[in-house]
Amino acid sequence: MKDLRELLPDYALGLLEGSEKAQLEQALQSSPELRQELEELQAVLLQIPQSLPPEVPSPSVWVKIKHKTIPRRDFLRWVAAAAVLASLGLGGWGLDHYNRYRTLAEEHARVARWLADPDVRWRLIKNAEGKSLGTMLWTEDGRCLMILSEPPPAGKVYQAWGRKTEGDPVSLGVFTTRVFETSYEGFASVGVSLEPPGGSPQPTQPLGRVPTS
Amino acid sequence: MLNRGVEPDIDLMSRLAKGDERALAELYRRYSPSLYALLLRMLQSREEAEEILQDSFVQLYREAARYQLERGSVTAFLFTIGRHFALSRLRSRGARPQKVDDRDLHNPEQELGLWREDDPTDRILIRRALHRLEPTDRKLLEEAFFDGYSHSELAERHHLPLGTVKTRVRRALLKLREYLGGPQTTEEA
Repeated sequence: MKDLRELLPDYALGLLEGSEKAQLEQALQSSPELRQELEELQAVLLQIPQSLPPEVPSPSVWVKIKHKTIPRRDFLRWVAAAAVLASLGLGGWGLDHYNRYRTLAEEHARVARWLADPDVRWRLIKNAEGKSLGTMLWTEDGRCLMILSEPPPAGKVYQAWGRKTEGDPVSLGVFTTRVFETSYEGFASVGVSLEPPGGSPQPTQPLGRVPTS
Repeated sequence: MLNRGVEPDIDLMSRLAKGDERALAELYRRYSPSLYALLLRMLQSREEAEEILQDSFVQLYREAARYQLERGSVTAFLFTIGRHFALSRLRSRGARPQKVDDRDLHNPEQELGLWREDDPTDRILIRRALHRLEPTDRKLLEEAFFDGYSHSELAERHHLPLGTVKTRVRRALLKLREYLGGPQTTEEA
């Protein structure tokens, strides 16, 4: 019998049919290892669309979605609220968004500068379950840039840590944005954890770690 | 802090599961451009891509309660819904439209737009990983993923034996996983 594991890529792509498909689906029900590998392959596949430059759809799409999802009474209230906000112009909502986009623009510019460097090395930051939480870029001269997929949840901060081959981790800084630049000089690996505001003396909720050699 | 108010996806999904339309609006703002890009690539038609985009977000709204973080990210969940709808549309057409190479449905000016919440890092790293694949392997993988071609259709299109196509598609996906996992870091330098 063919190793069922070999069939997983075809199954993830929807290319498996007939008896092989039935056989694999039966095995998936009883094998956590096969299920985990399938989920990994599906996650890889679903990264492929992220290679495409994003496109902004026409505003009419969102209007149609709202019609289909938001109850009519709430929809009219939503339209009224939007009209009030629009009439306020640069109100608090607008300012908050302006600040958010300015931060994003600064983050993008910083990441773009790093990616333009041909000597930059990179590795995904993964948690214990293998889920990717972001990317770390680094150069031989001891600089590194952490890019987390999401900002920290409310009431938490990110804290970067350097580790030598032995001894306790050393804090490399606390941050609340998605992008953080620091120095890893003298450390064999760099990690990130979630901490209460202000950071902690030692990591309390480690997220992932990347070796720098 | 400047990023105050940027809510993690998982929290938005919890709110969406309770019917909070503002959570849907935020998810749409974050992910409609990347899902729309996928649908345009698959369907090669703005009209159909917008129709499927609409269906996908309505489905996301209906299935939010079913979402589990441990089964994958919100983007993976949403892309799975969108790709499934788009593949059904492609199959119902019977014949797929031919991609015209000199007609770019994507607006290149948007690549550099700084005023959108689009992180170019993933796009660059994924492109690098894809371009490390052997060119025919990459083409076969992309056609299977984006166009929904079966093994036998790929074999016919590329004039390759069926067994070779199966081996190459499988190899391409496993290699891509390896490259995105970063074990070959030194080659990325």
